[in-house]
Amino acid sequence: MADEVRVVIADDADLVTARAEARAMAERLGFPRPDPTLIATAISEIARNIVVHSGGGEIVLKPLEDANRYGLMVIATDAGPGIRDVEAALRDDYSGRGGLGLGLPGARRLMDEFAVVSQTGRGTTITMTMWCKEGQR
Amino acid sequence: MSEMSQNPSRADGPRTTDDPTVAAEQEQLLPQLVAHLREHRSKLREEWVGRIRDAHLLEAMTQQEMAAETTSVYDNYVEVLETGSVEALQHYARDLSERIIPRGVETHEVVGIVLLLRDVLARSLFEKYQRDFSLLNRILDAYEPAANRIANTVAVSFVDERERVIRQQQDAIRELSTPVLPVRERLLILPIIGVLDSERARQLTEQLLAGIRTHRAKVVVIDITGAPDVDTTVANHLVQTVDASRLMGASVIITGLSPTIAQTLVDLGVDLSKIHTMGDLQGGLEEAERQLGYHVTRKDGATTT
Repeated sequence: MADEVRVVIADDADLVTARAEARAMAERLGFPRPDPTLIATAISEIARNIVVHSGGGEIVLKPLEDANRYGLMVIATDAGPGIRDVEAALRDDYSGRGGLGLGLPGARRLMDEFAVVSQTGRGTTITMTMWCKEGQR
Repeated sequence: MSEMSQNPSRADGPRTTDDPTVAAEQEQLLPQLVAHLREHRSKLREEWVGRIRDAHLLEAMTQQEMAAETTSVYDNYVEVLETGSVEALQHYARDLSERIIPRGVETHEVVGIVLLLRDVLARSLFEKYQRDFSLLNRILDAYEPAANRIANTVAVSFVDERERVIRQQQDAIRELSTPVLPVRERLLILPIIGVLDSERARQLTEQLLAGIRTHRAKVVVIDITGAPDVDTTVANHLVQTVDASRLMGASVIITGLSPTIAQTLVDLGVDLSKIHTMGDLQGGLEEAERQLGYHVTRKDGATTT
């Protein structure tokens, strides 16, 4: 089983790295198309949030394995201002800064599991997972 | 790096420079040491080359190149040891990087060969002074900090040079990768290739709008076949570019959306219903020609190649 991968997110260039690492790991784990792209795009959304709103953080990619399926878990943490109203941020059309307002809800729709823990003034952790739907590969 | 900070007395200057007699003696030791390295130049250089070969470094070089490079690196190394001048050292390191990077030499190889040379020379000092342990110690006190400084400077300079090359290439790619191409009167093509970050997206919109004005374009085909990732930010840039083009009097057709990207955009919830998309560039061009009233026919009997 592959090891987890950690990507420091500080600017736009790191998004490219995070996306590429996620795509590579998903392909290595055997995710069928278009799943690697969906995972990479979800990471793109939350990594962009980190760059725009908190100035920096990190993303950890973790291969998962249980009795009969494979998965990829993404843990994104930052020490930014936090999200004041997580419920609202997960609704479409909520936008912190002039985007389409689809970042968080979009990422949630792309992945199978999605959880946000945020503390105002302390930072945000987003954990999201995609499971490989082809069972035992 | 951590090894160095744990062991500062080795990386810093000679331990006992505050004692004037010892300092004076050390000034005597360095020329003595340099003379020894010059005297045994060919033997030591060969030994070094052997070690480089054993470590499988610089395998991209031919025998002649290897001989030429190692000779020049050896002589420069000894010269820097002798003069101790920082400028000479930096010049040496920069020169080494500039010559060696275009040959595809990796960072670990450059650092590796410099460390090997350091070790080969240190061994030869051991051999020469093994009878007099305290003299050997003082010789090493003079040699080690100078040798470590060379290794350090070479590594830093190599990385700097590499970063400079990467920056240059990034600028070049930026310049090259957003061409606005007039294909027919009033028809522009904008192929998007590579990752669209905010800076590139901004530049691209600017160039397109300028192109629309210059060429008095009515239709623009933006082809995103070469864009590997489209997330909401990129989609947003596209929507804004389309809106701005429309204000300038040009309609936009987007082509080259892969099935995967189309699916991703739907999952994300991006609304592209206002945007006119066509499957591929050819379809986009045909649609653009239709809108502009062009009618393209093929001559009878023309061969397709």
